[in-house]
Amino acid sequence: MLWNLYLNENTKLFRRALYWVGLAVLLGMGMAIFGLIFAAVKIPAISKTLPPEQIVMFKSMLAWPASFYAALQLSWSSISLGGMLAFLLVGVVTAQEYPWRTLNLTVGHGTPRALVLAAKLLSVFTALAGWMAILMLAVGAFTAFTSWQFAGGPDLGSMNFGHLGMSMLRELLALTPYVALTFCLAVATRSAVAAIGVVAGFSLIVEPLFIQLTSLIGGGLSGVTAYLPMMLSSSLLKANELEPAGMIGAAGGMNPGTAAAVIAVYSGLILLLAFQIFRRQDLSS
Amino acid sequence: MTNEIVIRIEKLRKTFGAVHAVEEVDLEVRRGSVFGFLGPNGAGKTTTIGMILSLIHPTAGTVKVLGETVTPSRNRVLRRVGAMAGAPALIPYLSARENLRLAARLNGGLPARRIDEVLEKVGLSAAADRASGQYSTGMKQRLGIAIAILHQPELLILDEPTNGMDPAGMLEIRNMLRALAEGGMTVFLSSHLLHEVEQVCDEVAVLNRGKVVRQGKVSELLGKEQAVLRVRVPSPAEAATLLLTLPGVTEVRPNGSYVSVTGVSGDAVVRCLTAHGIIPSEVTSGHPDLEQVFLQLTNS
Repeated sequence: MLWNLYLNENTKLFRRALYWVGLAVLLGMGMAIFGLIFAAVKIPAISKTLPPEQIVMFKSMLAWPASFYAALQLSWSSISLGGMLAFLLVGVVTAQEYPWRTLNLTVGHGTPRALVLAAKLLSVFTALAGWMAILMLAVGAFTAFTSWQFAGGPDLGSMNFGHLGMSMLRELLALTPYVALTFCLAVATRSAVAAIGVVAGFSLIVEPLFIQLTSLIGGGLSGVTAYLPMMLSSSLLKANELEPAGMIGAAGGMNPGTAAAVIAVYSGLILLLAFQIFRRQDLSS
Repeated sequence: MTNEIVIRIEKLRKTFGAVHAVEEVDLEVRRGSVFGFLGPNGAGKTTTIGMILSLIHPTAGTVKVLGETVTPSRNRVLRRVGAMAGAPALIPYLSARENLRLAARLNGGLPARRIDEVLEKVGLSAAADRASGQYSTGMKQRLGIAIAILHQPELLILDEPTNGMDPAGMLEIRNMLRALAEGGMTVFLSSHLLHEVEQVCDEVAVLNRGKVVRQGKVSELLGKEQAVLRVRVPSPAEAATLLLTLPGVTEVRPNGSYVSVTGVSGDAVVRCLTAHGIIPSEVTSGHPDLEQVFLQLTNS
């Protein structure tokens, strides 16, 4: 039963224009970033203006394996375009089924409510993993080409595909509390706008602001920030070798394993709440 | 139609805050019947159907479908039920065929030829591969019905199935419902279209302000009511006022150039009107139709 529901959810999700538009935006942004870096290194008029250590860093980003990690870091955090697209996708695919009444059809056909949500959740994570995998393939293809330009080809010997796979899973896990929160809010409010708005506001404004304020105030509060999803993600992604960029770059003192466990607990609790809300909801027309 | 009860509702109640949507509804639907569920807007029909389909948590009371108690957490028996509750539930960017494939998967997978059969049955074969979001309201209704009957359920629950259809389409659906009932399927039909219910249903329940005010066979419901005199007069309002003074009169209702009167004989009506200078040009006697019974029961 769960398998059939999962197949149905996949059909609905992968046939949506939103999924493919989101992928195109993500790929476009990825290719634009790497294209600009390539242009900065390749065009003498630009490269002459850059310090040598910058050129070295750029060349490293245009070669395997660093290019994959750079792509993950740039496009897939809770404050990145990938994160925002993920919230958009989750919010829309979850909330839109209320006015379409397709949830009513499935539940009214004797399907346990928990299975309905579980299938949707699995499908959403499949879709997000798909976005990430396609972005990695595109970046891999592009930087294989740029590797030929600078080093005579990609350095296959330095590739650790197991580690790269684990890094992708960590990125997905780091995003999971936000995805779970979007999902939960979409179920509770039946509104994509409300769900996406609240989660985007939380990740883009509330969390960074709170971190800034507590770092200014100092004292016991700064210990609390380590348990914010953004800081937990930062701690977890240390295991991906590359430090998260920007204002949270230096923070996150927890070890990656503990951070992963806390993230899993947060996500589990939020999802449990979503299931409870859905179980008690009246699906009127 | 047999005496086996396929839907049994006892003391069903639903309140939304201070609003009593459904109050103490008791209902029985027999296997093989076409059961009409009538009521004015806001009477509680859709809420009742929502509780039958485990979509809405009852405040009190029980719903049994095909012998099993149904609640939002216990609804397995509904796999043997097909339903279109309210507007059809469709994925607008998928075609009719794809929407039916999703429904087929909910039933554990059905052969592709079954999908073709139902598309044919509801007259959507030619448009089967167009996105359902581009359909007219009537076509969407047809697709909703196709989804409901796809797995050949024992019980079919339809809420306003002919909404937005043209008269030919409505007739087609009525004939289809009768044919399904003759094939052994029980049909529970909620409709505002009283002549539709009168034509297609064996039994009806009339819901008003959350309560069932009458349930029974259509023939009994109409037969129990007193004969109605229809009197054509030049001044119906004046005639109605006069007729209300007649001893024994139970109801007087002006309707266009006619006045409907119950509870008195034709002789008494004609004598009363002519004595006051109103000459009736036509007097007919008959039993009320379902619309009149409905209006009377719901005080509309």
